[in-house]
Amino acid sequence: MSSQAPGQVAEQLMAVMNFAGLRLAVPLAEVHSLVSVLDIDDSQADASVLARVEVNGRELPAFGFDAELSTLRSVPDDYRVCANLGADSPELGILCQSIETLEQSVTEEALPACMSNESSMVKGLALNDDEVLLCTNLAALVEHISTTDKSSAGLFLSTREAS
Amino acid sequence: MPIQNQQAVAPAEQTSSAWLFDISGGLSVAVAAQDVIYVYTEAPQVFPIPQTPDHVPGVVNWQQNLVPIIDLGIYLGLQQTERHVPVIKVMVLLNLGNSRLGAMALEQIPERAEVADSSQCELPANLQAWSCLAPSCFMHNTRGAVPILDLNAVFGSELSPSGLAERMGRRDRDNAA
Repeated sequence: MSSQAPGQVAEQLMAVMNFAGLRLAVPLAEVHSLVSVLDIDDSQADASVLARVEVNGRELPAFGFDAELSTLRSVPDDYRVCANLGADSPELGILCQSIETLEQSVTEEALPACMSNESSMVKGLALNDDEVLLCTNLAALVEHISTTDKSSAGLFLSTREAS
Repeated sequence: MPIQNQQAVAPAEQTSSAWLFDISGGLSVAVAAQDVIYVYTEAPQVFPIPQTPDHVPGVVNWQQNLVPIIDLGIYLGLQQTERHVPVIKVMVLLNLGNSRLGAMALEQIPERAEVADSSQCELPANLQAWSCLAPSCFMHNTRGAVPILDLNAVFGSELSPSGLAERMGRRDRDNAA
């Protein structure tokens, strides 16, 4: 299909993060690196940050979500991976059970107007065979975390200033 | 005689075909007959989407198209909801135009009706909340006043939290003026 329907973004490769049964896709191009949960520091978890992860000598805030996409306050035992997001310069880590790369590119469609919610991190939907994928991206995650927890907004600002 | 002839050939009143939908709380709404593409007599698999409004129980996969589902009963507070346990009895697939689709959760299989132009009526006071969704209304002989839905408003941003905030802001500005 050469023409693109309204609301569609170009086909792209996606990585899918698993959160207790919920699967959230991000553009593969935005995944900078992966770190084992054993290498993160969750000793100073507080209301705004679940853990901290060091990437290229910089400390990034890390967050995690449950199956309702609510922000977690402690790291569940079965969350094993931290995906560091940011194409060239990572900005945050997302803790999840596992992450996988889809073998085929998928076409993301913008969330229908009746479902849109400005503070939602879910910005689009995609079909991968018969599976419905929830799609997000780094910008949407930063905005969502900053909106739902104002104290986190300063964390991203300081991360960007340091890079 | 000429008068009798005129009576005999008087044209029947023009009517339009519609579907009547039963939503929660005994309320009925109508849409144009051609807007209904398919009636699911058993609800298909619904994929819930977190962080979306409660009156949108999720999406359904229709021939590789992801179609949003709206439950007007929940939007109007006529039905309690529990996220991720959507209780949808009947569902209709709707043509919104411009290759867009929508689905609506119903209480019963929809019913066909012929709507005469003369049956048009004003929205009753207790249905004023419908004014942004239903630009017109008609009087049904058994169901009473039935709003005729504007599907583009129902499936647009009017019902979303941002649309609601915009409407409230507009109302506040109008009141202030």
